[in-house]
Amino acid sequence: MSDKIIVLGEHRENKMKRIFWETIGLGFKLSTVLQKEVSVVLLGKNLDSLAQEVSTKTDLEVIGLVNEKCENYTPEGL
Amino acid sequence: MDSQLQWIRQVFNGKLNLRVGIKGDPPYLVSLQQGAFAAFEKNLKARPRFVCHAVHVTDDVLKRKVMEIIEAVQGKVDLSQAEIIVAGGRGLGSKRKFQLVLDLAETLGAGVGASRPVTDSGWLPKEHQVGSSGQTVMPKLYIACGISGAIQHLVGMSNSGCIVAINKDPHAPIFQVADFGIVGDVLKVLPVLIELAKEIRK
Repeated sequence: MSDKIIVLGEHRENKMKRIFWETIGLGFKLSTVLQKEVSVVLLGKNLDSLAQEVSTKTDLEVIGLVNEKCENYTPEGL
Repeated sequence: MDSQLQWIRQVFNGKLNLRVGIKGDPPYLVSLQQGAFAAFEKNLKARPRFVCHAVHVTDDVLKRKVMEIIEAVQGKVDLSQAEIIVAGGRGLGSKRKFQLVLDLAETLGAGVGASRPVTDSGWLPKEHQVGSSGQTVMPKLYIACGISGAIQHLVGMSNSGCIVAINKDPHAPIFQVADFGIVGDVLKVLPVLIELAKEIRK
């Protein structure tokens, strides 16, 4: 775990929230300082298109954790 | 502090800043305040690398359930999304004269911000306040009108892309963070800017 920086992606209605892109900005900064790789973790129900968009734009590895119950996932919700 | 990283964390509604480090063994968890860091806006057009795993979630770990998402009530001001912000301070002198700031904002299609004396005096609702006890903003263009630039205000806007400051005091601290400064009476400068903005809009 400690070998990586993981950005937990906030999204709503199939769109990444602005705070996510700000967190990615910080992730890249930290990656340079700490010499660690950044990955993105998304939680939700249908994540393929979002995961693809994020990975294409950032060139980062994206891990989607999929469950029906996470459809309206919020960071406070789990 | 032995931590490799140090963070600034606001407490007491932004009145105090704590410098914090991280102790103990990983993993560490950090959350951000919106507007504190520049957003990643590039598109690297990389070959996507993603994998989706089905995970098992039991009801008892779901502490909250979203029933419905209701958009913010009308009139609520979200300056964090504004590309341009025109903000006014005590230098405007009165609620009536503050209209100049609203006029420039309207002409530019900008959001309206304010320093604390303005919201304290009731010239504008508190939601417009920018600074440590208000919103942290990072627009592409921030026009500070008659704002001296107390540190509490600067922490909320100094990361803006381009800062234009208008103030009659050439020593006002706002000029230290400004990219462009106009030393002059804001009540005389603003009408000129509004006319220019209208010309450009045409």
